[in-house]
Amino acid sequence: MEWTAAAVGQGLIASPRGDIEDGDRDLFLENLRQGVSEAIARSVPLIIDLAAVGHMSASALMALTIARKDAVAGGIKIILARPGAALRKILEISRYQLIFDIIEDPNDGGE
Amino acid sequence: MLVRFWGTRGSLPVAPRAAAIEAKIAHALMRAQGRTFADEAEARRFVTEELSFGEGRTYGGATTCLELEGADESFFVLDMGSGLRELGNDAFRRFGEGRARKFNFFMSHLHWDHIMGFPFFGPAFDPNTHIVIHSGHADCEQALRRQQEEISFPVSFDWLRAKIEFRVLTPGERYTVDGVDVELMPQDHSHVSYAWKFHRDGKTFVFSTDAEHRMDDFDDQHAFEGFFRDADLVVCDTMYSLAESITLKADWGHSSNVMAVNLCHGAGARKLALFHHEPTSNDRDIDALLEETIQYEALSRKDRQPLEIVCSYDGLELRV
Repeated sequence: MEWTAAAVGQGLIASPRGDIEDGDRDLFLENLRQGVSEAIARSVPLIIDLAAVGHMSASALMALTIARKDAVAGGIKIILARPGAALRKILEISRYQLIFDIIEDPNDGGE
Repeated sequence: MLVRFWGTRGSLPVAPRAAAIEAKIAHALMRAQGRTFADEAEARRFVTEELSFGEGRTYGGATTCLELEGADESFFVLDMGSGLRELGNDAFRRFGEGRARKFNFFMSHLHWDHIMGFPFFGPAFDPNTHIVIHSGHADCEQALRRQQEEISFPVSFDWLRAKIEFRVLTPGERYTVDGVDVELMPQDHSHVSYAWKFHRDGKTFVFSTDAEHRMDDFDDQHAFEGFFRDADLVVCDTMYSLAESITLKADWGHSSNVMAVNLCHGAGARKLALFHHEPTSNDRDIDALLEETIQYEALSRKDRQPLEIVCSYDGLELRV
C-alpha cells in the first residue's frame, strides 16, 4: 500500500494506493491517524480517496473505525471518496455507509 | 455426521405476525402472475424453486438448539434454546423406533435464550432417560436449577425424573464422548461462552455462537483460525453487521458475517453457516444477509479455497 496526502480546498485528501490487506493494517492506521491529526489541526474533514484501492481487508476496515473515533473526538469527519464497485460493495455489506459519508468526488468533501 | 438445526434465532424467540404471513402470500401470488398449478406438488415446486427461501418459507424463530447425529448411540444436543422443545418431541418418536434414551448436551453458555427450552424438554421428565450436560461453566447446574425455581417456573428441577449429570470440561483438553472427539474454547461474551469442536471419521464440525471477535485483537483471530482449522462446517454468530458490531453494539458479545467469513477464510474452512439471527430481522433481511455474505466471500476470497456459505434455519439439516 502506498499513501500520499495533500490539502485541497477545504479538505485534506489522502490517497492510498493498492490493496490494503491484514498485513498493511498497522501502516494504514498510522497514516490515517496522522491524517486525522492534521485535519483536526486545520479543522477540515479528512477525505480518503479510495479510487486506487482495489480491496480492503477486515483489518483495514477496522483501522478506519479506529481513526473515525479519533476524528469524532477531534470534531472532524472522515469521508470516503470514489470507492470502486467491488470496494463499495464491501463497504455496503459492512454497513459502513451508516458510519461514514461515501462520496463520488473528493473535491465535494470539504463543502 | 449430520447437523440438524432446531433453533437458529438469537436472543429471543420470535414468530411472524398475521401481517407478515399475509404479505408473504400476497407476494407469492403476485410472483405467480396468474399461473395455474395442476396439483399441490406443482405449487410447492413453484415455492421452492422460483421463490427465495425467505419469500416462500421462513427462517424460523426458535432460539439456539442444534443436534449432531453420528455419535455411537446417544443424542448430541448443542444448547437448550426454545428449539429444544421440538427436538424433545421428536426424540420420543425416535425412542419408539428403538433409539437409546441417552442425551449428551454441550452448552455454549448459560444465558436465558440458550437454556429456556430445558423446562419444556419432554425426555427430562422420563425416568428411563439419561442426560449428561457438558459445559465449560462450573455453574451450569445452578443456572438450570435457578430458572426452574418457583418464582420463574411452576415445575422444580427436582421434579425432573431423568437421570441428570453435569460434567465440567476444560478448554485445551480433548475428550472422546460416545465415539466423537470433543474440544471447547472460551469466547468473548458476557460470563464467557464456549465454542465446541466435534471430530469423527476425518470430519470436523465447529459450533461457535455468541462470540465477539474484536477486529483489532490479532491473538483472538489467530486462536479462532486455529480452532476452525480445516473444518468441514463452521456455525458462526453473524447477528450484526460489521459496522454495528464495532460501534453501536460493540461489547454486546456478538459478531458479524464479515468477521465470520474472514475467520473461516483464515482457517481454510469449507462451509460456513450463518447463525444466531437478529430477532428484529425478517425473512427478507435474512435473505439479504445470505446474498451479501456470498458476495463478500467472493470479493475477499483471493487465492483461498472457496468457502461455501449457507444460512441456517429452523429445520435445516447439513451433512458433514
